[in-house]
Amino acid sequence: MSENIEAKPAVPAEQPAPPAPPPSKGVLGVLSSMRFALWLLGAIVVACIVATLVPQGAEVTEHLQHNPNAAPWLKRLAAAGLTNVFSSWWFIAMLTLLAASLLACMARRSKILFNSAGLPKAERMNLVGTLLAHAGLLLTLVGGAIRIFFADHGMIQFREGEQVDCFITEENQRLPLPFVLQLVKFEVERYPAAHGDKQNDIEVQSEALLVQWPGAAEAAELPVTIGAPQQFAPVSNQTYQVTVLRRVTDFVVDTATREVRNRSEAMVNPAILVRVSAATNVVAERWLFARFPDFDMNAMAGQEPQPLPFKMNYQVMVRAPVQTPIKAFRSTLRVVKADRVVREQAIEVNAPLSVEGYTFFQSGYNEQDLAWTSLRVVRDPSVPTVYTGFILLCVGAFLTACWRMRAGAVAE
Amino acid sequence: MLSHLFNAALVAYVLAMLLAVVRLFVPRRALDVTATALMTLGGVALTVYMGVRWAQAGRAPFSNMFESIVLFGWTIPWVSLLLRWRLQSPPALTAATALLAVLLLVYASAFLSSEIRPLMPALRSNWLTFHVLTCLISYGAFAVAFLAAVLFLVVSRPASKMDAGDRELFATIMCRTVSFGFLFIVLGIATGAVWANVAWGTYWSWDPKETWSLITALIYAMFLHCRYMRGWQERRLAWVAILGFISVLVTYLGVNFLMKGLHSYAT
Repeated sequence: MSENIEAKPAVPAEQPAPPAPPPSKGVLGVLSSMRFALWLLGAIVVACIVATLVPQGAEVTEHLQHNPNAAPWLKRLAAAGLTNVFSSWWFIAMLTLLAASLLACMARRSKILFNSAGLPKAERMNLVGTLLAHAGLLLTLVGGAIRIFFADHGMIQFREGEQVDCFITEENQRLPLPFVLQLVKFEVERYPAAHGDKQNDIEVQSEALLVQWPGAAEAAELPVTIGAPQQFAPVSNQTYQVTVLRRVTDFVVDTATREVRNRSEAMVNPAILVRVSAATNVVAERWLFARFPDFDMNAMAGQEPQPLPFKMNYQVMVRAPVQTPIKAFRSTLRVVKADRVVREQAIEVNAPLSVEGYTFFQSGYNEQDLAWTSLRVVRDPSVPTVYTGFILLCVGAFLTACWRMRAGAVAE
Repeated sequence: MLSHLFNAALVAYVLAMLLAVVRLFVPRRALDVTATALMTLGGVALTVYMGVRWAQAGRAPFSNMFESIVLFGWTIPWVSLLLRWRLQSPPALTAATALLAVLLLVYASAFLSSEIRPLMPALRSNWLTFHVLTCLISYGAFAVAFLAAVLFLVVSRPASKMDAGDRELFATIMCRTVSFGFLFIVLGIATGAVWANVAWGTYWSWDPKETWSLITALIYAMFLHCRYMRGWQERRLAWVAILGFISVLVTYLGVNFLMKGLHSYAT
């Protein structure tokens, strides 16, 4: 490194240059030289920029779907290894060289530190800081390598009440878990509605029974009042009585007994039972569905459809629900080992569950099926190494920044 | 209340900028002192503004573009003031930092919604505060380093009438703010990685924002090493600082608007 360092720093007012380490020769000399490290860092920067500009991995297929004309040049970029930069051999080789360069540089700086008895305290602090920062980056790179070779990442997708004893990896392999994982419950929590808003409920604004005589330009609108007969006289010589006998908001029918019941108070499948009479004779009695106007219960049951003398529709106007934003979505998980519950915990984004080296992260859910959840499973032995690397890097950067401030202050 | 504090900060920065510009032509110490006092006042007003917003929202005000730009506008003057505490800051730099803070605040108030919105599940974490704060402090320091680098290049032209003292001062400021910013970008990347590991089970996924923050950190690491290289005199170093700040802008704004990734919510 010494061959590249000036005796006088490039910026004279700031601080003196750090002590020049003794020159090395051969491979070690090249690896520990600052010029080599700078070229390497520059090459990594260029590779990273390219990787953010060129579609990577699975993005290529997506990009081709939107831009079919891009196929020829994407093919050329793929041939050059630029569509999988971060997993390419040359990028990994550059990171390996960086690790070797850091190691060589640390070895030389350690020598200086051990012989630094005569150096001012501030400069020793800088040396320690530089060493720690380099060691931190090296550990982070080592952690990355451990992750590539030893970590498992996968998914679990199941519904409430179901259990699994394995997970599917990103390579589509089935890996066993050393325990059974059950999904006890899945829930979505929303932020409370603002004052005056009715949260997440469909509200009925208006409903009416529309009756239209064949050939008439417009339909007549009758109120939906249970048990109260309404007069409908479309032509001068004929008067009908239309009576709403029953109204349900969430229609379900027992196919065996043909019994109709209301499953909930939510406006899921609103329907009314209507009787049409002429004088004292019942002409027809029929369920009308707001969402399925052409549906005939009799036809479904294999009976003769009841013809109506005129067209009838049940119309419901609803107010869209005020859907407040989602605050959290969480799965309550139960860990079972040898038929014994060893753990039960609710997990959500930012609050995973860790058991025996496996960590389960809340990943996704299905708005149409709120009993279903998707979890990410990770077993990553590299995390302690990488976190130690981060701590050393931060402490090292702190010490060198302090040294620069202090050295600058001395220079003033 | 909130808008009054915001406007007070804006007015203080504008006045500080105007006084610093006047100081360029009228060498009076009183102008320097008043400009610094106004910058401090603006910084305090913006600090109180963010504190009140924090209390109202029940979370750190760092979760959308408006809040992030305001935080950026908060860090730049404070880094500049911190510099003044350690060494003399030339009035040209005071004017430039105040101008940048004014532009950021004007942009935030004119083009971005200041509405306080609830956090999406992924952002409901204490790591949000540490990650965004450390990143934005580093951006503020790099912005000051960029301004110092530009001013350094201006005063170091052969035709410049500025004395060598100013030139050295700009170079010193550039180097110190890069060192300071580098510490915080390292902290920002580390806290972001730990947060990603807690939220998604992966501390690094080569997401465009992650990759560009790494590019920025590597460029500034190169700056810190280049200083000891033969042939890398001040002007080249100033160009590296400028290149680094271009990378900051791509990381901060370019990635959010032009690329898809895990940070897409930050627009």
